[in-house]
Amino acid sequence: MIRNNKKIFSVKYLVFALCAVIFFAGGVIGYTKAEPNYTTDDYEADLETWNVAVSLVENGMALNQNAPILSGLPGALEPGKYYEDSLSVQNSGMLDEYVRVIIRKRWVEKNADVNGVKNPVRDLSPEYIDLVLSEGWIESPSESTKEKTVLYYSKPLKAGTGETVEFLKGLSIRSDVASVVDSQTDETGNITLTYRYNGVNFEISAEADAVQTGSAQDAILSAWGVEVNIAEDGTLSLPPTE
Amino acid sequence: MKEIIKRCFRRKQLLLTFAAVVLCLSIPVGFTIAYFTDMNSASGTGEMIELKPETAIHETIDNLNKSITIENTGNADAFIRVKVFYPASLNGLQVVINPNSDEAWILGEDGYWYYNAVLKAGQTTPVLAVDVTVTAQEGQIPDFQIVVVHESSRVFYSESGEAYPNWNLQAAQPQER
Repeated sequence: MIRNNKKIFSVKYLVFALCAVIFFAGGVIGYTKAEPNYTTDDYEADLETWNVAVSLVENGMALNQNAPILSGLPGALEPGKYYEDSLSVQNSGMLDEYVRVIIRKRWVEKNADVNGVKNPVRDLSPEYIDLVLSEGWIESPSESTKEKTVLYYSKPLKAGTGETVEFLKGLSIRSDVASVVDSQTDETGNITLTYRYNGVNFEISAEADAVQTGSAQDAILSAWGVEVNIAEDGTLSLPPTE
Repeated sequence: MKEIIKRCFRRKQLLLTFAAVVLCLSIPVGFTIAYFTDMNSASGTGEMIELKPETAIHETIDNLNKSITIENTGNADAFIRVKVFYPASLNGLQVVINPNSDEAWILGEDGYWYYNAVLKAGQTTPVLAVDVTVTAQEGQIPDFQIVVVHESSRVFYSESGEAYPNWNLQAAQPQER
């Protein structure tokens, strides 16, 4: 009896399952019908998304990404003399933008290593490299160090006009760099003074960052991690440091 | 069979619990916004001239007289000073140092003759003449030497741009970075 019940249950179950599959398939597939239709020719449209773009300009010439700077300097610099070398940022995009510039300076070895890299000389102070900055920029005291100067421009750069703002006018090597000497006395009592900063080069790097002016405070906080104040007229300022 | 079913049920329960926890944690994350930004960078190196000034002394001797000039053989401008050592108390010997008339050389209180200008790289000072006259008879005066020492100092600049030397260069203290 149990065997017959099991058999009947199995067949019934199979039938129900089959009906369910057919019903489901029919509901999914739906019905088809033919309708007259018409397709037009392909039309092309150029779409362009607005972008934020910033460029570096040296002595009036726009620089490509990672281009060399300081190539306009007249050979070896003499400590104590001022040399002009203008560096600027330019709005090369389609949106107004706020910009900041990070200038780094350090001493490097005169000769490159086997990989063509001039290694930094870490025990020499970069304070002897004097940068003459332009007006109109706000230096961030909390972010700037002896090696790094962080500048924020207080006004947004207008798009479409190629607006360019200078941040570096020139540089010099402090003349007292030649006062730093090391003394060695030999067995006969002869004293030899060696200039510590002799035989090294200096390296300057500039990084320009730009952020959209829309929701500027949030955008700057998100992109640069810095809290700033934006006045109603668009003037950017840094909060007072504690 | 029962064990297998029990294990499956536990796994399902675990998965459901995990999914519920993930859903709960994702609620406070909120949504993210992308802002338009751009970055550009450039770098370059510069060279500094040799810091140590290099000068050379030139002497021409005519009888006992010396004509001294100092040449800047390096590529750094320099201040120059010269000192002449001779036996001043020797009887019968007269030594006169003649700086010429254009005040190119000035006698300091320390006995040094200072060249009164910055000696540019490649230039030579005017002559500093040492006129020696022996008034004693031959044999009445012992041998003597006239020694000329010259020193050079790099040119330093004050904040106002005024050039000055440093004749007392000393070893530096360790720098703080």
